[in-house]
Amino acid sequence: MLIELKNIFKWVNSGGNRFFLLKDINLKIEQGAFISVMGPSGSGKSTLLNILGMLDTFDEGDYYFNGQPVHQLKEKYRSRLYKEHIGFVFQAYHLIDELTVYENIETPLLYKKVSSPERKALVSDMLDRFNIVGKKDLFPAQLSGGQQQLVGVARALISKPKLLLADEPTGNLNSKQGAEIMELFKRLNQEDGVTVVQVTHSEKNAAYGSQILELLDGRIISK
Amino acid sequence: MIKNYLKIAWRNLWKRKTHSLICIIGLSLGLTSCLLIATVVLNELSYDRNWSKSNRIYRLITTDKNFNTKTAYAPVPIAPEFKQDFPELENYCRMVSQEGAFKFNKTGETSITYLNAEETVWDLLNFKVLNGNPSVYKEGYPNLIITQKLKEQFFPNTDPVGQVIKSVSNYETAKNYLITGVIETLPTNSFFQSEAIVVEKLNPGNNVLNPRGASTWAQQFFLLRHDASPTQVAKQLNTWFYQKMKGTSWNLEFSLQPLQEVYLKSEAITSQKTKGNLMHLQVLSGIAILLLLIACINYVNLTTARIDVRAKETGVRKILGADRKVLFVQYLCESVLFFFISFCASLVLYLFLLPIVESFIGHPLSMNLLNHAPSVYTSVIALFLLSVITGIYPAILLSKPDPHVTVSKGHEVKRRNVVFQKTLVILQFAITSGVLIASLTVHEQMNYLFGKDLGYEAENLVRLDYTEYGSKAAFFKNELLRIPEVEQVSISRWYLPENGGTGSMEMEDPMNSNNKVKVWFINGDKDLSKTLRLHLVQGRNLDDPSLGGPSNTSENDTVANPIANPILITQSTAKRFGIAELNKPNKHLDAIPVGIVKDFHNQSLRSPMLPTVISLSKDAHSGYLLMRLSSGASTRVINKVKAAYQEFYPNNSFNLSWVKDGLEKEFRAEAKLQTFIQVFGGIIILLSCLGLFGLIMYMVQHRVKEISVRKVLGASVTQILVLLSKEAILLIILAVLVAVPVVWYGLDQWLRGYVYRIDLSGKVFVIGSLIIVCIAMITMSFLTLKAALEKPSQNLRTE
Repeated sequence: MLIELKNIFKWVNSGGNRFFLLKDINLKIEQGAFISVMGPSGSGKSTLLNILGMLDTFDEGDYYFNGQPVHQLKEKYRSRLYKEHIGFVFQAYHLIDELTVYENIETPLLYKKVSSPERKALVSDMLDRFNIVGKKDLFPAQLSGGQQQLVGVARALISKPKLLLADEPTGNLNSKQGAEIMELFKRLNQEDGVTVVQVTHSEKNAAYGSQILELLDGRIISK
Repeated sequence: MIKNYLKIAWRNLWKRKTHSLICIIGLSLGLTSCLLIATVVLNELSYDRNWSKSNRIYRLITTDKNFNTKTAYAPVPIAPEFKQDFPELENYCRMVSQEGAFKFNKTGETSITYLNAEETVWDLLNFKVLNGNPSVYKEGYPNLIITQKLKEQFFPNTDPVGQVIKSVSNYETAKNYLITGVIETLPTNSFFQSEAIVVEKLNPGNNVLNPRGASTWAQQFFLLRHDASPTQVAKQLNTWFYQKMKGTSWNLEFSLQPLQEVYLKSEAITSQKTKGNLMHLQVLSGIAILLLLIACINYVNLTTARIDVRAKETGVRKILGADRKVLFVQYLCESVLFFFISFCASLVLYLFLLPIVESFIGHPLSMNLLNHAPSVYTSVIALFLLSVITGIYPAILLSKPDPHVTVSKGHEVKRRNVVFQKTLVILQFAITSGVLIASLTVHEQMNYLFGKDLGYEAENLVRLDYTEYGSKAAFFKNELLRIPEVEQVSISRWYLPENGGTGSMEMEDPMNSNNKVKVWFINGDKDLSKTLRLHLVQGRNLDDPSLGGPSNTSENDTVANPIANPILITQSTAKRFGIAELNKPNKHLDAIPVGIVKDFHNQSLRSPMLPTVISLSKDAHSGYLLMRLSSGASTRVINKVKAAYQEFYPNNSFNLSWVKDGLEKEFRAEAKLQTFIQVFGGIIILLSCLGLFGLIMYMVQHRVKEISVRKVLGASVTQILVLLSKEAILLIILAVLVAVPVVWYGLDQWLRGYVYRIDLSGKVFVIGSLIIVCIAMITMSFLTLKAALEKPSQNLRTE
């Protein structure tokens, strides 16, 4: 079991009222699963994804990642955990504008203090695999949206994560580009065994996953 | 990793060119100003530190307790006599800086400043000898040791050592001098600044103390033994002096002034011409610190203004695994890079501006970044520290944003840091308005001093140096009067404007016999008051025919005249001495007042006006010649005067100066300081505007949505402008309110140093504050107008 959420609650207090973002979430994700999270705006999809990715905290409940109790871990260990095992892909790509394609992909390795020759080998592999060797010296602004997202995925995968979290990865792409990214996710999941959790609005994209999770007002209404 | 940081920093800098340019311009201006001021200040502080025995040399200072005045001159036999009794005094040298003309070559005379010293000068000051063996005195003529500069000027290809040259003097007959050596040109940062040294054997009278009186012609420098304490030696000297001089009426106290303080800490020694002003240095250093502070505040404000842009990067990097420490270092590196780029730019500016500053202050700065390696190292280290200290706040702020806040859609960075930014802007504008108000006040005071009615007309008045006119005096005056542009000529014993008169005397106060009053006496011929254009209020002028006629009449006529000792007095003198009726002998003044003139400033405006008496010298055959020229007189007239002078006195040297120049010289240091304050004050204002620009940019960015919504709801452009500017204007008014009391106090203290001064008026403060507010509004309007005019649809769509 890669992830286990038990009775997760998250709320914000506004004007004396407690407003729940997530309510009593219970969820188990097996290693190698491909889950699509769906639901209308404000249903808590992104919040759930951020909590899974340890970017955000929750107010109540237990979270076990790979058997480790995340809710009890100190910031330092938590950060080490997600540095090691989790990769992110965003709707707005969030590439660093000042860095080239090559450097964007390399950055996570820098923060993991991987040695220079090893970095070089890993990044070259990744560029090859995604067929973007020719674009390695370009800046994000010089790429199309689909290419940028490709770089975003390559960057998320460079540190060989167990879990890939994607927040509407195709939201800013046209349907053809979107389909390519989805195919890529599917391949990664099937060939490399990467666990994928994606948030999406589109039924078509959701169908790439092995399981669909529907949220409404912070609750899971169907699995 | 550092390489990576610098690479990113460089790309960031390059990408936001306008922002980077504003930052770099601001920092470079601040740093350049600071480097230039530091160079000036360090040079002033470095005077006379280079002599190998510098820290053992002291100057003998005399305080006259009767008059409470300080001079650097003391009875010259003190040093040799004291040395015989006290081994603590290892050696001494009596010397004085003089001006004199020499005939270095056949073509003409050259006026130079030289140090007139005795042989021991070689033991005290280690001049670098380039040629000859000047430390061994050569009998025959006084020895003349010239500097390399003079050698190159007059003996470029010959060896001057051994040559005999003549002096030219208006006081005495020409003397021969033997050149015995060439020394390296003295550094500019020395009190002993001169082009040559004259070493003379003094006659034995200079070595014996005489209770009846002693000459005080030279300054005395003491070289103390290594273990001697200067205060102890001064104490011994005072007791020893009064034991030796039993029954003397002198009431002197001696003290020893370290050589290194002679230049900068001689405020009380009024006769000293080569000296710095510690207060001015403090003002300059203050300005440099303020400039640096403002430049750094600017950097902080402009950098943190971009937090919105950078927050995303921070968030993404955190998601990619960066922890806050790493990002902190990255942002700090950016600051360091910015500072070093600005430093390079400011070094280039420094190279261009240094010669301008040098020519402005009037002498080269011998210690600067080009030839003094330690100051380069120090400034690089200081710059690094400064960049780190300044960079800490932006780095903390920029590395803070949480990843999930920045990467999720519709994020908003909280505006909590704005209090700190506002404080910085208040501080900045408090400094700016303070500097502006101070600069306006200094300007007013200087205008007041330069424009004040002196009671005589200094414009178009020239002075010839002391000359023995002899029996030809009257003819020479007539000759000058034949030049059409010369209106009046007078020979007096008044070295105008450097001295207050021929001399001054302490006399019993006629109103209160316990008190003493100082009276100035000016001794001149009958034409003096006309030449000065003094304003006669009552009675007769001294050229009145009933007073004895022209100066060359015989003594019999004078005796026959009923008024033997006629004087002119000023109005305040008449009041002080209770003189209501003229032509009656006054027992206090021991003369007969025949006329009263309007008060005039015979001394510089630094001293209060004292009772002044002009007495008639009937045979003015020597002294200073004052000449009133018609307005607009040119150098052609001066040449005519010179020709006449040289015809009458061919062996003399002709030295002419404008009285107006002399008056301006008195306040030259202040005028220069004023220019410094104005220039750097301008830079301070400019930098503050850049900082304000940064803050407003930040505020506008945050309120784009608000502005758009307000516009959709029907707000006019003016209403938006008021909305955006209101807060900043309030901040600036607050800043002005903070500054005013501080500046008022400081300016009040400064003005107290002047006898004649303006009253601090609220007007200057109001004008200064208004100027600041206006400048701030103009600066802001660039951004606020743009924001107010933008189409709301665009901003709302992107939300």
